[in-house]
Amino acid sequence: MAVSRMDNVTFVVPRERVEDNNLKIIEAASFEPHYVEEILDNEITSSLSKVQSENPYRQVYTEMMNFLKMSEYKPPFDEKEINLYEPIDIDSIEKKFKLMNEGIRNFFNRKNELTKQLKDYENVLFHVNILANLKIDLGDLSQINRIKLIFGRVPIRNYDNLIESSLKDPILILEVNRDRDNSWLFVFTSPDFEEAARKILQSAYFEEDALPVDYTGTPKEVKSRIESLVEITKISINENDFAIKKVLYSNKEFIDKYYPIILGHKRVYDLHSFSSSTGSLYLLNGWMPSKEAKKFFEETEEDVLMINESAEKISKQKKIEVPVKVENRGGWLKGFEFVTKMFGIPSYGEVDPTPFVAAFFTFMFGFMLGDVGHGAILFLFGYFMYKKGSKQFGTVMMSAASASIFFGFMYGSVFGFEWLPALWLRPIIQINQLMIVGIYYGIGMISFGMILNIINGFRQRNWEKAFFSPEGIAGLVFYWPAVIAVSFYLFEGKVPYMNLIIVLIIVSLIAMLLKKPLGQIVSGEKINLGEGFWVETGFGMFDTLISFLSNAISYVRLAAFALTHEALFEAFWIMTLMVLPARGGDVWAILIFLMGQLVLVGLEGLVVFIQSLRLTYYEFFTKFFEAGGREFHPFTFSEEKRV
Amino acid sequence: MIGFVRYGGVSAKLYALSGNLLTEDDYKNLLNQKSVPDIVRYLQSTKMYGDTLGTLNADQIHRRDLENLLEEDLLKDIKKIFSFFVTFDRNFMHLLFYRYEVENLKIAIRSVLNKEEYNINEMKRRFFDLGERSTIDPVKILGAKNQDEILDALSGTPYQEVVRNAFASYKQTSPINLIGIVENALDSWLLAKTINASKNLGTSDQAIVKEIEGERADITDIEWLVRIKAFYDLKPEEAYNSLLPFHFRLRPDHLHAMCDSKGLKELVDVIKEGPYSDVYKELTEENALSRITLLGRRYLRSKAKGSITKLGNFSIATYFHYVLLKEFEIMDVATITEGVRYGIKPDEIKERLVIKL
Repeated sequence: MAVSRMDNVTFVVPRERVEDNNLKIIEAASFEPHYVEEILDNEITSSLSKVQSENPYRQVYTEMMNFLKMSEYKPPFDEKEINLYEPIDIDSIEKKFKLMNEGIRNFFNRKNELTKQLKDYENVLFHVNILANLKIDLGDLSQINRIKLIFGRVPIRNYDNLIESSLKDPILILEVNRDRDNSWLFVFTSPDFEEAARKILQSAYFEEDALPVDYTGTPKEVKSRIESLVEITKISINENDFAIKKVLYSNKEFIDKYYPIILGHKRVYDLHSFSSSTGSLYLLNGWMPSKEAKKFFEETEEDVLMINESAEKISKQKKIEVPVKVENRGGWLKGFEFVTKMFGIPSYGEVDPTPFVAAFFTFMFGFMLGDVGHGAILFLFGYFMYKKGSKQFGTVMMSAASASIFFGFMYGSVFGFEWLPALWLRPIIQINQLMIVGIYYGIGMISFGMILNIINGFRQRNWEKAFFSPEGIAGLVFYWPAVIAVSFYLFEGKVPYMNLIIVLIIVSLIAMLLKKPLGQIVSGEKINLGEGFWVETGFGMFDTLISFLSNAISYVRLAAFALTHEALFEAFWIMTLMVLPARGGDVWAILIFLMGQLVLVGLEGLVVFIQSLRLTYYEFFTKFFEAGGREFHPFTFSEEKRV
Repeated sequence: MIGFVRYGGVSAKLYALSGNLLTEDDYKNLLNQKSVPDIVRYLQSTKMYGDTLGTLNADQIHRRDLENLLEEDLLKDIKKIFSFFVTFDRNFMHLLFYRYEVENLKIAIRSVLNKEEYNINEMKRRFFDLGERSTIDPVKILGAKNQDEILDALSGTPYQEVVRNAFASYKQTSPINLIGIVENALDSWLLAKTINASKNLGTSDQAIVKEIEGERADITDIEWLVRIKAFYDLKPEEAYNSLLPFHFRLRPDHLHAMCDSKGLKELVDVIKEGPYSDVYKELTEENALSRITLLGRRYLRSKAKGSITKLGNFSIATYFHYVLLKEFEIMDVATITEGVRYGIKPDEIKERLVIKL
């Protein structure tokens, strides 16, 4: 469905074609490499050798990256504009970068030294602040002869042991400060005992810090002196920085031209490091979506051999996880991928729930927050977020807000006022009807979840899951008759087809109770009940029955929140009216009214968003969604975090 | 009641898993196997390890690989259990995982500081795979060539500060001797964090964590002190500072007595007068080094076994009960495997097992 079908692809390439082929692969951006040893049989892999990193671009890449590091410049990189087929003179480019590096090296080193010095000054300031409360002259501390003062810190976890261990020794430990990780100490000891004391401190992971005792004056005086030094150092750092920038900008065109080319070539060889060779042929294995694989197959050169296998086959044989590419067409569905992925990535072979999430989430949000005006505000908010860059969240928000506007017309509510006629009903008046619609919607959504679970069960050939589990066919055979029975009883007073319903319910209960052995029978395995089967099943059934009931009732919240929205508005409106007669009442009234609107949109919007998520995740997803998948990361020109 | 709500699901799961622990018969059968592949084949037929070992070729598994595989099985169980800890405190949950990450870190740092040659694939197998929960990449650390590179590879994690502090406070020490220093720091840090995080679990769970972790710390420190008195020449204060930051039964006065003892014989006497005198009844100066670890483990195992009845069914004790028992089981299987590999008689191997057959 919306989880792309995957192939496991092996390329067999002669040496001359390797760069070319790799280039094509990276440009296609739809290949995730995998170590071929894990795919092929042992007899073949034992005669393969791993590719040594033979990368002719390594030197020039290193020189280039050194320069970029020293100049702190990141050139633009547009994958679509790279032309790697043009031959380049590696040596001359390398020479030029070397020259540029020599030009800026001195400035760079000086800048580093000054930065270190800046850190030292800031370090002193830090210690000086710790001692800020002392009104003594720091210079005097160094004059103390008969007592040795050591200043430093231990991790907090070692403090108690240190105090305890040194109780009987001529050491006095004083904690002067404590932050999140460390306990800062003054340690006083006699000069004779100093060496022994240091060993004891060392065993407690003590780190000495230099007391700023070369500085005379009280901590306050030292502080202002250091602060000026800090400013001077910063100016010097900037001077060196400018020198580096001059070299950078006079060569910018060259750098911008060759950076993408060198990087691209390097990536070609990064991909190559996944290959193994038989000596004259190179094997590269990886995952590719079936559609792209087919297209690629048709375009490969004659002397390159491409072997496609279905991902399921390989994954079953070699027990490897297939990476999952979630593909949804259309901006609307793509936005809702964000909701699905927050829960997890679908396992390969599972149904991708994103389209259903889009529909259900939107509906529920609108149902709970139905107001034309508030919906419009939320829509603008979603649009703003979309423009600012959070495309997925923006889409979700705009979709939900549209439903709000729709339900605003249904409820006849504009900014809380009943200015429009209600096309359907007014929540505050027809509470019962609202609740009933909510619950039946919930029953429908839950049933849909079970149907998806059954589909997954069939796809995975997991008969226990599809037929006998409480989320499978047995579950439906129990659930629907039960719902029908209860509905008829509540509304009509009597239940038709009572006997049929009872039979269905009993049969399905038994099936669910015995789902494990029944599943084993159907799949032809031995019946193995395992220890504690009856206890586990007993408690399991109890839990299942309760959850059928509780999950359906959970959907009452749809009606509840629709109600609170109206009720909250009423409350604020009453307060607004109450305040009007008072002195300056107009101002207060406007304030209260605006605050109310803010709460209705902001707070309620947040709460309803979360509730919709919860109903999606907990009552819907848990029926079928295993979400154990690993996301597909194609190999591209950009460096990614490689694990 | 709260315990039931919180732990109902996970306790049921843990009971089910506990049912798969090896029985006395299993151990006796393992002891009578003749070779390592035979042991692997036996384990393949057990419910506990059948899944993990099932598809592998028994003849190709090396003894050390087997131990790694069994430990991966434990990690798999822990991940399964975690899906049941829905309402649980996340900080504490993560710490239970970090134990394994710290083990990975120790293996990597040991290799770097020893400057050993290694086979990257073999090393990768020794690391626990924590998947998305891992905060460090042990393979990256393995590639470090010196202390600075180790610290770089740890940047952004709390481990960086712990290791940096260890390196900085022992600046003059040679890399090989730094290994124990760093490992001690990491263990210390993990214990302090665990005890701290247990505060968020509620009083009864917190008490359980303090007892279980505290006793483990007690036993570890007793063993550590025995080694110190036997091999190192540390002053009492240095010994005291190298102890863990949290204990359960060992009070400062007893710790002082142990640290102050001059030599192994005095230490053994002090231990036999302390709160763990029953555990170390048979300890003497001659057998101290060879028996100390086993006696401690036997005690911890019997505590773990009884922890459910004593500390409550619906509490975090059930988690520790299962995990500790399985850890000891893996230790025993490793001991048996080593014994069988070197042709030691079953009766002699039995003496070295944690479980009492």
